Amino acid sequence: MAQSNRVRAALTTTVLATAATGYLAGCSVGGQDDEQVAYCTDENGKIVDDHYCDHDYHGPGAGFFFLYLGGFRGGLPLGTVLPRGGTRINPTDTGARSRAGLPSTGRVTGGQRVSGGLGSGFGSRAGTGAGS
Amino acid sequence: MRRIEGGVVRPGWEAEIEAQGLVYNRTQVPGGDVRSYWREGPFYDFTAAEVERLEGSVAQLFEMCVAAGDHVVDNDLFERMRIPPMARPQVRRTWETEPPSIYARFDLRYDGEGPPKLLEFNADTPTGLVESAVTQWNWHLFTGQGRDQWNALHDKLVAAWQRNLLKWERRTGVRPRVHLAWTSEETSGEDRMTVAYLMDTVVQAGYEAIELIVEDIVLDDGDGRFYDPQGRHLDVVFKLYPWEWLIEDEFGPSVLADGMRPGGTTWVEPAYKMLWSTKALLPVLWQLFGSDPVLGELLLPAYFADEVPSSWRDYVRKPLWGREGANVAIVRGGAVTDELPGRYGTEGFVVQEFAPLPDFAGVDGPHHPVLGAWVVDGEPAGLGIRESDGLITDNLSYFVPHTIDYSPPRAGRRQAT
Repeated sequence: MAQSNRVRAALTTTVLATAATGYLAGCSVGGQDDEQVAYCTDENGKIVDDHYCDHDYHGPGAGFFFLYLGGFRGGLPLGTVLPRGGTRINPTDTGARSRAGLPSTGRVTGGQRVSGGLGSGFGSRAGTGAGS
Repeated sequence: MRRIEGGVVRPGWEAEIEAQGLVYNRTQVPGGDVRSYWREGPFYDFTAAEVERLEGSVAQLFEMCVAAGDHVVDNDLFERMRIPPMARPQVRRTWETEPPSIYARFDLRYDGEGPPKLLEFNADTPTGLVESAVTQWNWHLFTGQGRDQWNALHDKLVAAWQRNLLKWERRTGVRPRVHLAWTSEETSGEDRMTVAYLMDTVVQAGYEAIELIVEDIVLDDGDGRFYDPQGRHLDVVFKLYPWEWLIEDEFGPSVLADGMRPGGTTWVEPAYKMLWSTKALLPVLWQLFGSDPVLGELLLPAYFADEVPSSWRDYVRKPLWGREGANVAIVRGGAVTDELPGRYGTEGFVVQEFAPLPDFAGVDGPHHPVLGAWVVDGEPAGLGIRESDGLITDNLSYFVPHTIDYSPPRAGRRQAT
């Protein structure tokens, strides 16, 4: 059996080296800064009350409200016009909502990320890592 | 096996190993001090014959674990192993179909005299990979110490992805993309760097690798499938996140249900690794092989807590699902003499004969090494050594590199002119 790598040279570890550089420079992945959050907006990107984006909303203006997903700050007040960009999701499209990490039906709380049904285990077992 | 104290110390080694990926080298110890996890200077040296014997033992241990898995599945011993009922169909299915499995690590007690003894099998989410595969390989090349190193990890990882993913591709007719997930709750950088390194091996195997955070995995409750935040289906996911946590999470039942259906996400390592990553494996192995004059030599006597021989006074108590030494206790004369804190144990314990780790003492005190022998795609692949001052190897241990057939430089040697 070969006991060591065939080529006796430094390994090509581009992804690792890049990740290390980023980590040491203090960049985060998945941190607050680049987290995707959702707001209910009108067609102009103005934040409106969450109930307009219930999946079964049929009141005035129905069809002209959107779940607007992007790297926005949390806690923005009603009336704020979000910058262009990001992703618009039809609140009645349950499949698209799910794929964006939002609940497929019901209401989305503005500025909140609501996926995350995996990963909760770590916090409840603080003190040791996920590795072994 | 011997410990060399006066090895080469590379100028600027701390910055170098961090840049190579060991960003979690600086370890905060209780009291607030920061120390290096990597030991620069000292190293362990083995003869080629020792490494050959270790390789043979590791291959044998792996076969014994396969036999133990067969024994549990065939005799429906899941309850005894404390495998949660909801996970059993998936454990059984993956055991029988052998979906992709990449790596695992045996922790061994070894002193260079007798055969190695299995302490435990980290089969589901082993870490220590970056320092084993990358940092100590670069150290070996740079310092020129040792004729070789037991380290074929990189080559074997690339080959493992190639073999497993090609098999997956042929079975499904789909060329898989591979997501590699770590939990953002782990902030030392270790899990993220482990995933980044494994991404390198996936890419070099010829497949697309995508980094993913466990908490960002999306479940479509319309089709019951799993996606990344960009809406791409998760074909194959390497998860640095233990199965026993995964199935307890909110999406856990969906993970298990999706895995049972055609086209479901393939999780690496597979669910059957729960059979091996639980310490309940240890008494099963002892029951099967303890009386074998050759195979039994690779094991320490072990029992479920409710079967401890009444004559036992000295033993180690381990929680079934513990990690990094948490809640491990050393019992001597019937009383606990050493114990690490933690939150494990409600799931039950096993006990293992107390076999003190050997001490390769140096001028700075005792050094108790544990050999981490890597298995990649079912074959022995390399070695990483952690040593502790105390007898329980925990998350404050040091990583120490190793060589094969080291010859010390002769004093006063001069090059001919």
